[in-house]
Amino acid sequence: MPFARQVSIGRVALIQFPEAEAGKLVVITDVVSPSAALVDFPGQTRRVVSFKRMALTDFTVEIPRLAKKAVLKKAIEEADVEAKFAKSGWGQKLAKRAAKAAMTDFDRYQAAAQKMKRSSQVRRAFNALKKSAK
Amino acid sequence: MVQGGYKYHQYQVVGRHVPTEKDSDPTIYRMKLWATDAVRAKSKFWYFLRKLRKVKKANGQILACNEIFERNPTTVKNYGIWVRYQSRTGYHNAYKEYRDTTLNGAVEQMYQEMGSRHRVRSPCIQIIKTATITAAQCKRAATQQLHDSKISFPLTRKMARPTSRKYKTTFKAIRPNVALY
Repeated sequence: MPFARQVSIGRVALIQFPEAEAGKLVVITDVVSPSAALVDFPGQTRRVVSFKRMALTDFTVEIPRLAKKAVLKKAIEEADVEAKFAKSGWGQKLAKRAAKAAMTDFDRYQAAAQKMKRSSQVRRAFNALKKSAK
Repeated sequence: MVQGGYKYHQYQVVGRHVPTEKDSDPTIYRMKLWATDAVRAKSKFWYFLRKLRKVKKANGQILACNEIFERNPTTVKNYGIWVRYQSRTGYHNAYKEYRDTTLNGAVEQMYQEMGSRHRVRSPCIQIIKTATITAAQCKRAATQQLHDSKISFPLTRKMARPTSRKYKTTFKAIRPNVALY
């Protein structure tokens, strides 16, 4: 299987480490070395991040090397990266994980109550079918 | 980019011989050098100046010692560093190239590389000269290979690393998978 995602200028990546920055999307604006890149995103400072600390996504943005913040912002909005990523399977998984982690005890109770209600209806229907099949 | 700060800082040290009756206005000398702190920087200043001029700390005075910071720490630059180092058999000159965002970062890389590749410890290294060089002036293939506006390469060996330090354990139940592309 050939490598699907390549490091290139404009590649969108997700920061995995450290925990304070984990989950943030960044765009690679320049490559420092085979182990680190200069990343940038509107609202964040341009900085060097090691490839070990980020995961490449499928999305790329059309930008020149070391694009200015305004240029980068425009390109990201045009490509609609944030929305596309949130819609992707990866983005949805992360959103679900975040929602689950942010659940309060009441939310957990509500989820459990709904599950009980649903499963009781399923069970009732199943038992009815079982009886009629006998 | 070093986490926790750079070990070596760049200082500008300015000094001269103390004014005497014979020479009331001695020539002022300025050196840019790397040291771990300002005290060491001043000490190094005298060490080098002693070798160049007839002046030493006892009959000299430091006029200024300022740290020099990187002007653009968010752009990648190519740095050339000329060093004089002592190996097991004698003194040698070397020219090394590094790609980094700051000169302090490049100097840090140089010390690391000299230690690992040539087993030269930091007290045995003297930085002769440093310069920010353009892509055209670069001589080493390792830096030149990154001079490509359409650069594109895959990350062939990627491991799933713990997302925070609390998940880091000495032993893991499964063998690592490096095929994460």
